[in-house]
Amino acid sequence: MRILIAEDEFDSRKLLSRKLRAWGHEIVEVENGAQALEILQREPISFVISDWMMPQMDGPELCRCIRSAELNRYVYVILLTAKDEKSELVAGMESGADDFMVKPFNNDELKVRIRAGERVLKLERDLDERNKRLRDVYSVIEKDLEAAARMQKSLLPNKSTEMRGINFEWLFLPCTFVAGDIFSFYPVNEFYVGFYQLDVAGHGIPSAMMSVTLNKILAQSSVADSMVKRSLAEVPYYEIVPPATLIFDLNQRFQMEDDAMQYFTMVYGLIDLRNKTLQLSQAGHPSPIVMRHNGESKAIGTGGFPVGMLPDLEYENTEIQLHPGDRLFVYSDGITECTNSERKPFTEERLMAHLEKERDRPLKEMLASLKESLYQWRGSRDFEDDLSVLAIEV
Amino acid sequence: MAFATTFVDDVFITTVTSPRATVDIANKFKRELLQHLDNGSRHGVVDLSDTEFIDSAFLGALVTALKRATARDGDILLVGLQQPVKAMFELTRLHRIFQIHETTQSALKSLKP
Repeated sequence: MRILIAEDEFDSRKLLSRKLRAWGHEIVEVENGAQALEILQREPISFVISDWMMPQMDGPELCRCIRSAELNRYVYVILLTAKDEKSELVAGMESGADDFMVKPFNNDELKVRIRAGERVLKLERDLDERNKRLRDVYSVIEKDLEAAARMQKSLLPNKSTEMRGINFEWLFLPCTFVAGDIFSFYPVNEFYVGFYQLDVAGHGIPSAMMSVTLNKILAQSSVADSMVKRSLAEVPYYEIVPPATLIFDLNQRFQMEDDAMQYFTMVYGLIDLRNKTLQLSQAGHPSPIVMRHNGESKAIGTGGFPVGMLPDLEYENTEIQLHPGDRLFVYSDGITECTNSERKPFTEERLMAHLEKERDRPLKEMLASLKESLYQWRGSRDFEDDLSVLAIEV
Repeated sequence: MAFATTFVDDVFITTVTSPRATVDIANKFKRELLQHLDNGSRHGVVDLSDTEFIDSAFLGALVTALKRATARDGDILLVGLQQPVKAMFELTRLHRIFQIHETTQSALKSLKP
């Protein structure tokens, strides 16, 4: 091992270095702390035996400089002292020394203390190595999560879309890198527009993978034989699957494994463009809010089982007539369950009150101000769950 | 601990002591119930009297336990649902799947042959 000896007294230094060389160590000698520090910054030496009293820079000061120097390794320091006083030892420890020896010392004691230092250095090196591996793995995971989040974001619809006279807006505030909420809207054929919002239980990669899978399945609206459309033997060779049936089918297809607890809540809806009727079905998801153009707001829907928990369950269709200017808000429970600093939830009442207050503003501005309200309520931009709202105006 | 279990004969009674029954404790809670079912309890009672809020992850844990219990001819009964918890069960229709009782006594009584 390479050992740096800092000692101003010529005889003592030579005696010590001769001993250590005889035990197989490689020795570098300096006369004071300043020289020692200079060597340590240049050469990868991790073991220092330093005298206490030295001109220019003494032993304790050298220790302090080593500890604050941000060297790329741990340096083990033994301080030598002529006196064996407690107050001295405390001062030495506070400066960051690892060990002390009172002069004169015998060979056996010196050997044992050097060996103890070697053990500490080995532990330090192992720990360093392990930390480095952890850092590497963590940075890979972080990059993967970011890539997954980008992929998921790319699946969300374009903002402010007008589709066949119907205005769609949305708000999406994900909790961490990746989210379990996803939503979309699309033309099903020339008469129908479909939309959905779903919230996969849990967070992180498994929930995100599930939500991406569901997005792919539900996005196949133009395919004649899909979850959205069922093929028929006669013209027009397909029928549009009613919302409750679509959710029933999803429920049959996505039964959770015993331990995975992979299930989701959702709302799926269809708007008939000819007469502006809305048909929707709800599965464990919060009840959407309908805001009448010239009337009150209220929650609609009949409830329903979350998807994937239990097989063979029936779901219900709710049908309502919409009129020009009516708005529909479909939201995930991340909104109403968003807690403030006192762990109080935002609640459906507060959401309704907010929407009522803003009812005369354009849809886009309503959602922007809702976002601000939620940030304010939360007191930060870190959410525990995904928050999303899909807003529709006919 | 967010919940505690006692036994009356071979029926386990798990009381959720946390006011928030959520994703944070759902997995542990599920393992607890499954363990009692695997250790020979056919029936279980879950007391939610102290719970003010329940999320979908926790509901999932309850359903998982119910599935295992019913597969072995047993049951999981719920007692002491506060208003917000009751609302969540109604929204998700799970009040039609679980037997729900006002008190542990009446739940235990319903399990007697």
